[in-house]
Amino acid sequence: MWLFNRTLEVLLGKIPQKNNAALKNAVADLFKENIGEKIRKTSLPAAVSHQDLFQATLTELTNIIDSNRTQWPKWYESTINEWMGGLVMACRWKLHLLTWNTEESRENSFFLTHGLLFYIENQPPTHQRKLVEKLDKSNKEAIAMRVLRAMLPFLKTHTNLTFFQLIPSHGITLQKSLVNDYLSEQIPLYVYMFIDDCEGNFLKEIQSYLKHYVQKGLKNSFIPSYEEMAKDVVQDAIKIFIEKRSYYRQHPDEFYVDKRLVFYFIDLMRRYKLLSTYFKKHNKTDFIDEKMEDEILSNNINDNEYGGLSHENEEISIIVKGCFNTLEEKCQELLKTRYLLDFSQALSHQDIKSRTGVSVRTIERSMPKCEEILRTCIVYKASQQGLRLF
Amino acid sequence: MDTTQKKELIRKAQTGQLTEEEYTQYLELIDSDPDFFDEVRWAEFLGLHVKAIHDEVLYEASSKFSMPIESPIQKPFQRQYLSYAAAIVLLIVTGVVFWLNRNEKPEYTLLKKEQKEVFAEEQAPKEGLGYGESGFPIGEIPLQWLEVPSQASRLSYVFCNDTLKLYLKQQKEVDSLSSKIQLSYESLSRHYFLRLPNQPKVFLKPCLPNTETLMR
Repeated sequence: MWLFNRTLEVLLGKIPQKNNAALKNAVADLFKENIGEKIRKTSLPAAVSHQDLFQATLTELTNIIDSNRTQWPKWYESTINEWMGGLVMACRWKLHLLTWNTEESRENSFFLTHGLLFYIENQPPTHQRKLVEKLDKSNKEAIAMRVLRAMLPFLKTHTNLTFFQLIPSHGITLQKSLVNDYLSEQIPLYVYMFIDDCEGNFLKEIQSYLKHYVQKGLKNSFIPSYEEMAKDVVQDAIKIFIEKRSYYRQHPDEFYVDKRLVFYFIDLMRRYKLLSTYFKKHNKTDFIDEKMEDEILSNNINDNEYGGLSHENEEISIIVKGCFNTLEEKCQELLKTRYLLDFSQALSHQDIKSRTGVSVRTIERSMPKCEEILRTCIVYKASQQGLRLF
Repeated sequence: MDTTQKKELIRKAQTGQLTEEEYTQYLELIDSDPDFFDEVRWAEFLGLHVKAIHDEVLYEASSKFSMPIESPIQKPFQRQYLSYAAAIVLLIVTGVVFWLNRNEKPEYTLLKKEQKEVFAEEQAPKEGLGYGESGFPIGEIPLQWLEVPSQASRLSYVFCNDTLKLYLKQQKEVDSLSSKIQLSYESLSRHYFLRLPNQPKVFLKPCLPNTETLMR
């Protein structure tokens, strides 16, 4: 039977790494019949066609195979076919995501939390390993659900990206690169809210981030002495959060975060009108009223919640793509390798060397240049169009 | 800490690889260095956009593929029955082929082949006016003499595809009869006739399924 169950290395190993089109064709040839069969067995919502689901599944599958080249000698054709039904269901979930509300999305996405649990148990952020060791299984499961919940708004606005990764022991889940930030926030947040009184560095990190965001907002609104004000206002926000903790600890279901933590705190500042309260307290109402506060926090900060990749920022995406395509091919390859290979982690120079054969010295010389050329191009074009990047 | 080290710190932070010591360094830089904070945001921004560019290419490539048309999927028991049916069909076909090519002893023996002259039959207009020419040769048709000892009559025929096959019970009569029979053709009715010694002319019925007796 081994003749009929070959490894991906045997099936795809001859395809050059850079030739995405050839890989795509080969993957389609190998798996399209099985994808089609699984789709025909799936009931589809009215808004999703067979063809849409087929293309989404093929794209995700190619991406999974491409991003796991190191696994090719270990992954058999049957490994992929075994999880094809799961991948089709995941893509169905993705295509239907925009029309679901958060509750429905959560209920229908339990399959993803198995993989998130794998990340929490096996690949937590290194500096949080000790925190994770304190957690029992139910805590970890609760965190996995909270990570997913926090990610849903991001996923809903980024359905143009590939989402999924295959972990054969745990099934289909979200790519680690998409999960990382949420994971590193939700683990200490959960511990702080429900388990351990020791706040550690977690609030310090949030405080620093918030301070920079608020400072930028105030600076862009031409508010004088903005640096000190920002520090004080952020301090007030953290204080309110700490005061609320005892209540939430009693009512855990009432506490949830549907976004990156820093934007949760910005929302909190807006809800409690902390900026205008601060100005009233210091008799500086000439500078700001409640309406302005909303503008400062919304327009100057929250628009860029998703790094300029939201649907509202298509102009920025076009600029970045245009600049990226003007880079030399060598630069494009280095950047793609740096940010994309395995998707679970942006690679170190040593990792890139081992995969591309380019020496560490060359990478160390070239990578900053490539990034600088790209950055200069993007910043220049964005400023020409009056766009702010982040 | 130089730029490269800072970038490495950011890379580790964004991929969850900071040690506790590095995390402390990272926090200090985030808090005190606005440029470092900008670098953090830039790396986040670039990572997401490079992924978006990569994924866009993948989606474009996928749009060229169509969902395959459904082909009947055979379950194991269906495959088993199908193989039985195929074996039976194969046996039947093999049998038919052998039967058609069986090496049977023929019931007849070809005695002679010849081209036989055909003469014009007398042709009189229906109204009885004028006259009709007859008796002159107008062409030839193939004639085959065959011996069939098992047949009851002395002579029989099959006339088909402009070929006349005459079946004799006894081989010895072939020469005498061959010189005496005469073929004729009537152009108005487009019929062939056969004349035998001391017998009336016989209309040759075309393509009969069995032989037709000429002489008892």
